[in-house]
Amino acid sequence: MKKFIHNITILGIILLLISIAIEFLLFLRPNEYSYKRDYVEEHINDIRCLLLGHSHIVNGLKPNILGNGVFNMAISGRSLAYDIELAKKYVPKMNQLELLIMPLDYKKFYFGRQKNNPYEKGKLSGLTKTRKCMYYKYMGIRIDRFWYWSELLNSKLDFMKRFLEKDAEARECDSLGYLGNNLLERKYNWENWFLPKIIDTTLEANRKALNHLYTRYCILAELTQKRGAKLIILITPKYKTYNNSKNPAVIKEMEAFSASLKQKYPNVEYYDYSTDKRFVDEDFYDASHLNDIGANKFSKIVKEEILDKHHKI
Amino acid sequence: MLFNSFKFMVFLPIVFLLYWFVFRKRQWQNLLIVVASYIFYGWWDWRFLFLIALTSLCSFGSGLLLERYEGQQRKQWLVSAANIVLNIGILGIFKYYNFFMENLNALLGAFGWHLDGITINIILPVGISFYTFQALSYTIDVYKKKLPATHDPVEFFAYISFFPQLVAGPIERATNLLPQFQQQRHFDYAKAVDGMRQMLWGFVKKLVIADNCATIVNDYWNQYAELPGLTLFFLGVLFTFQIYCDFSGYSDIAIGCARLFGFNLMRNFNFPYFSRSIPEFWRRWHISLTTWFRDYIYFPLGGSQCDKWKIVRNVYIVWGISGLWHGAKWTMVCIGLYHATLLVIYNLIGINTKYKNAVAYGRYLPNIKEALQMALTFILVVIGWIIFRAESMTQAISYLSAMVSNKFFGIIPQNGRTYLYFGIALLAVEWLQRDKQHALQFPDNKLFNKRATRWTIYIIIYLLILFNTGKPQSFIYFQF
Repeated sequence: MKKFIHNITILGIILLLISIAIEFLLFLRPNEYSYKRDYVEEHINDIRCLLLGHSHIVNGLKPNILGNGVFNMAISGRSLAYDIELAKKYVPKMNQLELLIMPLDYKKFYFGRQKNNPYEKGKLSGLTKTRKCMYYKYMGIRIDRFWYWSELLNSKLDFMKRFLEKDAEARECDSLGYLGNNLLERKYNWENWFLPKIIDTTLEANRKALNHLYTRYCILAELTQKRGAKLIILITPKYKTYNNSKNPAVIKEMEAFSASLKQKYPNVEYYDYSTDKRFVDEDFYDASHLNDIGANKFSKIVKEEILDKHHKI
Repeated sequence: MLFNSFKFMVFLPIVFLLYWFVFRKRQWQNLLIVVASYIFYGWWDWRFLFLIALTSLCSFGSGLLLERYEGQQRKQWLVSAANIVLNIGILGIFKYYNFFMENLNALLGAFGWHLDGITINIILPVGISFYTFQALSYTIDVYKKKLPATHDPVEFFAYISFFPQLVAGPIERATNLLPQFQQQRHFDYAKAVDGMRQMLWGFVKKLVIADNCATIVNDYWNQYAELPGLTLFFLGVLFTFQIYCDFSGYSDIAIGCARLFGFNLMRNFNFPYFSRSIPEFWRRWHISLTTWFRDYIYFPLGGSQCDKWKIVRNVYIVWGISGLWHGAKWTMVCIGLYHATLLVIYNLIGINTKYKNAVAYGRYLPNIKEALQMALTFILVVIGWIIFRAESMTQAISYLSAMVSNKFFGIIPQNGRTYLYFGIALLAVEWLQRDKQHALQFPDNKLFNKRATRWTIYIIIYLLILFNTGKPQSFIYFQF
């Protein structure tokens, strides 16, 4: 028995040391989170337009097309809570900031209510832990009291990839934060991937969640207002399968939501490209995400119709 | 509590240390096993504990009554029949009630009658089919005088609820496991180390192969109408790896874990994908269940000691029930009948009991005949698993038709190919170790007797798990 305990302990210590070494080495390797934090902190006085949000923005808008001083800080799957924390952390320090671009789409209306949505309870638990870990470890954002620092215990990201790939590939996004979807890697039946989920707008819990979402956007509007910048809320182009699946009640809610926000805050602008006819099959990666071709097209449109027209970035 | 959870990583060392250092007497160790097993099981839902306690209590009581009515055959028959009916009844209510009622309603619907509100909202308790069969084996064996009734409720409760094999087997026989609870256990270093190695191999199968294959299969399965035939076959192969690594991985962890506590559980898998025929496959796959059906249903029906038509009837009865055991779905019944048909064909052409030794014994590679036999068996098994994976028989038929009618060549998902190679690598290791109890049983030679070699292998496996663990998935066989 003594021999068994002794050997198990020694082997356990070796494995623990290996794990600690991997954890430390992972910390040194670049990733999307640490790269975006470093970039924003280094260029805090140069950024004139900051893009926040989730995959619709990170896959849909190319800063190199949008103009100088634009950086895409969006990250796939990000919830609004993290956007607000990031905005609170960086917007007040950005002397040159003119625009903060945020998505307002069906996804936000759905995920903003996730905790109260009986149809989707607990589905994202694995990814939630990953995000808590990555935002805590690499962006210094902690949204609850738990300690999520260890990637080996919490994150489900591909560690091996980070070790094997060069720095630029390990961080995944380009130098200005854009992360492209390749048309050639589009999945079979892509039209039916990431369709909007069912949500019952008549539920009291969902109505409360909508009010909560509104207050969160108000925080963003106030932060930008104080900075003398504009908050651009936009809906990225969506494929017809996505638009056909939308709940008319939620669309009405979204329209009312944006109108109310614009009325309350004059620095808020709202653009809906979800049903824009200029986008064709080849522009999409799946039902709600653009591919690289679509991102080129959408970035040019946003530059011409929003940035150049009103803001001259 | 799942084996692949952080909770279990904390739970196991605590129970292990208490077992060998604090509760050294057999009776106390048995009591600790009962308490630990109830904590392990109650972690899912504490309400299920009443059910397992009821099953244990009734089977324990039936054993005592069988002993009391020694020599009174009619009373003994009644006692064992009552216990079997009770256990099957519990299983029937929780697992099959809704299935039968829905089908009855559909049948009556054909005549214009409808029964409203006959289904009930009920949760299937984890592992109920496994521990119920274990309880039944005790009653039947006591009735058949294969073992004496136990008078110690603690050791009987420990036998039914022994946590390593409680929720997904191996389905132990009372004749094998119960006597082990009746003897003082002594720590055996070699046995414990071998148990740890078997657990490690089980974790590789589950975390690296099964969970990753599951992600690919789940992503693409429902798009079968548009995928090329080769991709559909490839998905079938991935699911074949998934189900093997998921279930045999659980069994490896269970058997290895039991060895840490000084118990020997029966072997549940014997490298089934190296089988040369379907009968051989079923002698190597889920051995504890197939031998259970063989001993308690097939043999009492007459087994193979009767005329050909009765043998055919017996095979269909056993495999129909076996299919239903796997789930209250028509696809499960069909998979049972599919394998029954294959077994009957193999039986009729006279290769039912052939191939009892390891394939290519004493050689590194199989000969051409063996390779072709293994390939044919593997393809037949893949077809079976496609039916098993399908949500309905309509989907199973459509999937199999699409494999033939869709264009054959096309893109295979890149990440899927990676895990296909992983699966092939796993099978290659198992091929080299096919005469052993499990793939990490090291050969007794100069190289493997060095600690440095063994520990290097452990570290490589640890890194493999660390860097390639897929999205956590529940064990497939929990639903049974």
